[in-house]
Amino acid sequence: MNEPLLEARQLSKSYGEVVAVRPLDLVVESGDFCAILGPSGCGKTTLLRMIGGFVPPSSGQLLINGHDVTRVPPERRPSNMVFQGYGLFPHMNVRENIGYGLRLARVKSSERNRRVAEMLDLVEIGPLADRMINALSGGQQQRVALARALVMRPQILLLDEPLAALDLKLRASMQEELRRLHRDIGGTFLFVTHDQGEAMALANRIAVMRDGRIEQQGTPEEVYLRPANAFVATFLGEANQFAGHRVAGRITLDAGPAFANVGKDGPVTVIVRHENMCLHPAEEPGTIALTATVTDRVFLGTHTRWQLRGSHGGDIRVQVPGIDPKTTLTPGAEVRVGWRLGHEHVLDLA
Amino acid sequence: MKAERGNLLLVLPALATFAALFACPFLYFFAISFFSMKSYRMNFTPTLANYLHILENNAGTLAFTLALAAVIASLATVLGLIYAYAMRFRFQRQAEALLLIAVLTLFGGYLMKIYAWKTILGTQGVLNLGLVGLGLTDQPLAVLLYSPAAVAITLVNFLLPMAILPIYSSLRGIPDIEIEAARDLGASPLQQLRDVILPRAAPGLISAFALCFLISAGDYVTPALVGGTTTTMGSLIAPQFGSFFNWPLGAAMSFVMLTLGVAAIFSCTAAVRLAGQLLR
Repeated sequence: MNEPLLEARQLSKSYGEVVAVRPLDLVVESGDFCAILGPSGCGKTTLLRMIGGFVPPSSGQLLINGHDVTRVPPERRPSNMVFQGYGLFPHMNVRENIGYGLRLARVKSSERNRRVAEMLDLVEIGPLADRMINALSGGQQQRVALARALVMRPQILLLDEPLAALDLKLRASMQEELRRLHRDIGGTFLFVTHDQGEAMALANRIAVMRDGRIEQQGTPEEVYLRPANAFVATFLGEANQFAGHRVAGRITLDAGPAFANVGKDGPVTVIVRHENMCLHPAEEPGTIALTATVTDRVFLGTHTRWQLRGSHGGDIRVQVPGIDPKTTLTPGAEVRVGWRLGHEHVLDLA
Repeated sequence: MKAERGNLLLVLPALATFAALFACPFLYFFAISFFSMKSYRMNFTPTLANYLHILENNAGTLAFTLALAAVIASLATVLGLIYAYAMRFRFQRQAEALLLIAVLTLFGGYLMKIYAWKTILGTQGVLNLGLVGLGLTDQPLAVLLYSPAAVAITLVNFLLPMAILPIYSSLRGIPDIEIEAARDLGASPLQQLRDVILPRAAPGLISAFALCFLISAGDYVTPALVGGTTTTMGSLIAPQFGSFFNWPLGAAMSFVMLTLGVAAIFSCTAAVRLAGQLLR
């Protein structure tokens, strides 16, 4: 098997008493579009900055293409970074910004001009080549920042919250843009985000972080469908959690219903995504049904979210597409709610 | 309309002070620079005699004064840049303390610094005693004091905080990520300085240089006290308003200095801009 493009081994960072990143392992294969996803303060940016060379690790090792780069400064790492806020040079125009790294690398000016022109085309800002940075919109600056890093042909492109500064519409179009760039160039991208939608939309691998730890690494499908714990389940998408116990291959929910599930005896959490729940489930084998009270209904355009209170005391949320014209429930009404077996994901707590 | 009148009211005190204390005397001295003195009385026949006199007799002193001021301003700007750079990029945590130290020296009066340097540089001064004590020279060096170098040292010491402040404020305007971006693209510390820090600090550097240049070009106290036979335009102008009682000539000298000084700063700024363009 090929060695991975990037490998972090027991990499950690502490600032005095404060631990930003606990010793962790991370592997990025060549060609990956990998997301580090986590809430703010989880250490994801520190991790990315360690990989870029801007933060010296407290311990551990970092390898790029099998070479130990742990102590290599950013100016000599085969990675390039797109910074949050971009860090473009306002005293240079677009062309000079993009060509700056090549000029430092003493690339001949004919070759440099060719590669800069190629980048201008790739990120579709050719007509802006001679503008100064302050004359550009946020989305245009984002493109310049991307071009400035990509023109260096980095072995791995690092992106720190690349789309956070853009408004919703622009973010969606830049997401498509990033996917296209990744496909066209065939490079390896590693980006940090707190937005699970962005991570799902862009990445083919996601590492979910919390409190300086990587909670789970895997494909978007794996982390979404088989979350390693309740944090991952609720951070990626929305999910209901039901407490229960498994005894002799059968789980009994605290809320009442029971179903067969193989595993060792002990307490479990059963996770069911909002979109996999339904109102008025068919009362038949293969379906779990509970009694709940409606507390609120929120219409969100593409779907309607029902907020319920289970008879066992826990909150339950149900997401149904559009508006169900047959369902005319008002807050306070009693309703049966449930899911078809197979849609749940069981976490062993012990 | 109302707002505009309010705005006018806001600037009026400053404008009135400026007109009374600067613009009026300025115009007055400009006018009398074209007159002459005859037996301690002003002769109101317009003449260029004062300017011709300066051209014939003081061209050397003028050039020397501007050159000395340029050297002093350059030294103060470079030292100010080093200090401000250290504050901004090397000792961020101590920056406030370092800034306070720089500003505190401004409180230590101008004359006090001159006398301090007199005692340091004099034949009985600390420096000479040290040199003799170490056996580096047989007898105290008289040239340390009463030389253009002594003027330069004293003025650089006095001007340093005024160079540090504008440079530091422009360095503070450079976000860290711009420097990190330069590093990421392969810039060595020297290249970061050349390509990012200096171009971004240019406005601060230019104002530091201009301030130091104008102050040292116009100074006449320092040369008189530590300069020995060093003659600057300032030391020629001052007595025209005192012992020689020739205000028209003094005024003409002042306007020549002012014009050349401002011209020097403008050409300097232009040169910096041009150099910046060519370096790209």
